[in-house]
Formats: sequence, structure tokens, C-alpha cells
Amino acid sequence: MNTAQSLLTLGALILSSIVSLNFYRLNNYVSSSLDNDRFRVEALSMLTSQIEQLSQYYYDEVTTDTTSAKRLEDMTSPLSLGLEANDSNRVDDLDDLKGLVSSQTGISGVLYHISTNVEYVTLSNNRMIFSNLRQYHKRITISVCDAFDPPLLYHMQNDQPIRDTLRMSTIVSYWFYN
Amino acid sequence: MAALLDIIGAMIIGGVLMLVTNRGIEYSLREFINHNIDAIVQTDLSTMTQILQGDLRKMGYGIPESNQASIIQTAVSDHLVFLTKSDPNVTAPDTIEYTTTDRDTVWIVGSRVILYHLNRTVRCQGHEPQTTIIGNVTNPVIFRYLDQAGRSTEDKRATRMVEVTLFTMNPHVYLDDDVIQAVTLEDQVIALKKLWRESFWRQTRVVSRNLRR
Repeated sequence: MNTAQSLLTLGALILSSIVSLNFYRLNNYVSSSLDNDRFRVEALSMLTSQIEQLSQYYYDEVTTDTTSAKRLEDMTSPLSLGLEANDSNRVDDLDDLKGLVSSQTGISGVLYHISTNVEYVTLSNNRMIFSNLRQYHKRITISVCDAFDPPLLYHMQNDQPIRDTLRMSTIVSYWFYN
Repeated sequence: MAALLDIIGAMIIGGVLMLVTNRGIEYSLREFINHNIDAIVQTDLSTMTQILQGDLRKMGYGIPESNQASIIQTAVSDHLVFLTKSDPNVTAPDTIEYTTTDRDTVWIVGSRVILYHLNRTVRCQGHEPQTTIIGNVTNPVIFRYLDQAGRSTEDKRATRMVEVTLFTMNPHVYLDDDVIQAVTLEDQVIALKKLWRESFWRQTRVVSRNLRR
């Protein structure tokens, strides 16, 4: 084999290696995406469970008395949303969920962090926007992310995995039948 | 002599390339099939949960206050029957029933996977009952019933939440060399379980807001 033939053979091997490498990379990417989706589905089931379960709580502690309609001034002040001293660390109404952070293990064995935020909202230009006053509507936002390092729920940015947080909001309103 | 060496060298390199290509084709076929199985399983799980969620959300809808105790008719781990009303113009309530039935038992290298059909039957007045298989799961215990405090309960009247757990997978995977070449049965099972990719869904659903009037 002369030098030209050797170089040609070497070039062919390099090309073949590049094709193989790209193939395995693509395969790995598909595999990771499917795994990623599996944990995303599980995290989503946790999110919807949390949203569903919060519907069992009263709008405000004051609304546990159902004998008369409550006015805005009866509700908890926006600055006092969160667990109150008389709650004994037990959630009994929606605003107790503000700032609540918990960890839950999914059935896959993955640990997820769940955090909750509660705020008053009001309707403005067909949009529900944050309000720093008492309102008849509360927006509850629940966020879920996995506790693994490197993250299982992520997107790639500059070839680095960036942890994703799944977030879902729901609005609960106060109403009273006369 | 030089020409002979050239031919031998070319044959060796060609042989190596052939082996690499063959292995690549085999690997790509295996991954293609297993990835497709995984994707189909995840899509099926998503479809199942959408149907289940839709039904559980409607539980008790349109049922008079006086009949509240009869909304949940059967509440066991693999069997749930409840009343709802899909047509407000019809007086009789509809019945939705979920059951699991054995579909298949798959044995691979000493490991057994039982697949169950998840069946949904809808009974409406004036119509024949309609049963559909909404998917396949690998866990027979699907429903767990919880009271207001989140404790497990067997009392239908005390039930305020249903926890739905679904495991799905397709055991008919394309086996890889790790499974085939494993020396002991234990190693084979370990290698096999890496290929069985399960998808999971566990959701707690308030049963339903229509029960909390």
C-alpha cells in the first residue's frame, strides 16, 4: 500500500467512526428523551394530584362558618397568607399552603420537591392579575422539580442540562348561596 | 508480494468494517424497536389517564342529594363502579364501571409479567352497555380509596378521594447481548429488567367535587 492508499483508508475509517459516533449520540439522545418524558409524566401526575387535593380546603379560615356570607375585610390579609400560629402546622385553608415546601417520592423511586404559592388575584382586562389587596379569588401555583443531580427533568442550554420546574396554577374563588 | 499484502490488508479492514456495520445495524434495530415500545407505552398511559380523569371528574354529577350515598356503587382495588349523568334530560343516572381482567402472562428467562386489561363499561338508560379496553397495565391494584384525612378506607360513604396508580410496560422487548450472554439466571433477570421500561402514573383525585355538596 502506498502512502496515498494508506491515507485514503485512514480517511475512510475516520469517516466511518464519525458516522458511528453520531449514530450512538443520536441513540443516546432518544433514550434520554424517553426517560425524561417518563419522569415528566410522573411529575405531572403529582402536580395534578396536588391541584386536585387543594380543592378540599376552605377558601379562608373565616369561611368555615357557612351561616353568613363573608366580606373581603373578613379574609386573611395578603401579608398574612401562610400557616398561622393557631394552625398548629396543619393546613386547614387555602392560604396555609403559601410557602409550603414538601418532598415526595414517586412510584419510580425518584424524589421530587413540591412547593406551593398562594396569592390574591383580580380580573383586569380579561386577565387574572396579582393583587396586593384582599380579593374573592386566590391563585395557587404548584411547582415540582426532581431532587437529583444531574437533573432528570431538564433542558439543554449551551450543552449543559438546566433543571426544569413543572408549574401549574389554578384559581379558587369564594362564593356563598343565600 | 506487495499486492498480496494489499489484498490481505484490505480484507482485514473490510472485514472489520463489515463487523462494525453488522453490529451497528443490529444495535440500531434493537434500539429502534425498544424505543418505539417505550414511546407507545407512554402514549397509551397518557390516553388511559385522560379517560380516567374525565370519568372521575364527572363522578356524582347530576345525582340528587338524597341519593348521594349510592354514587359509589363498588369500591375495591381492581373494581370501581359509580353513578354520573351524561344527559341531564334523562332521569336515570348512567353507570361507569372500571375493572381489570387478565390479558396475558409473559415468561421471559424465569421472570413473569402479568398484563391486565383495564376495561371501561358505560351503562346508559335505553342503550346496550358498552365495554371498551382503554389500555393494558401491569398492576392489578389500581384504585385506593381515601377518606377526608387521606387515610385508606373501605367504607364507600367515607370515601372522599381515589388514588389511581397505573404501571404500564410492554414485556415483548428485543433482547440484547447482556441478557443472552449472561451466565447465571440472576444476571439474566437483572439485564432483562433494564430493558423492561415501565411508565408510571399515580394521581389522587377528589371523588368528586359532586360528593362535597
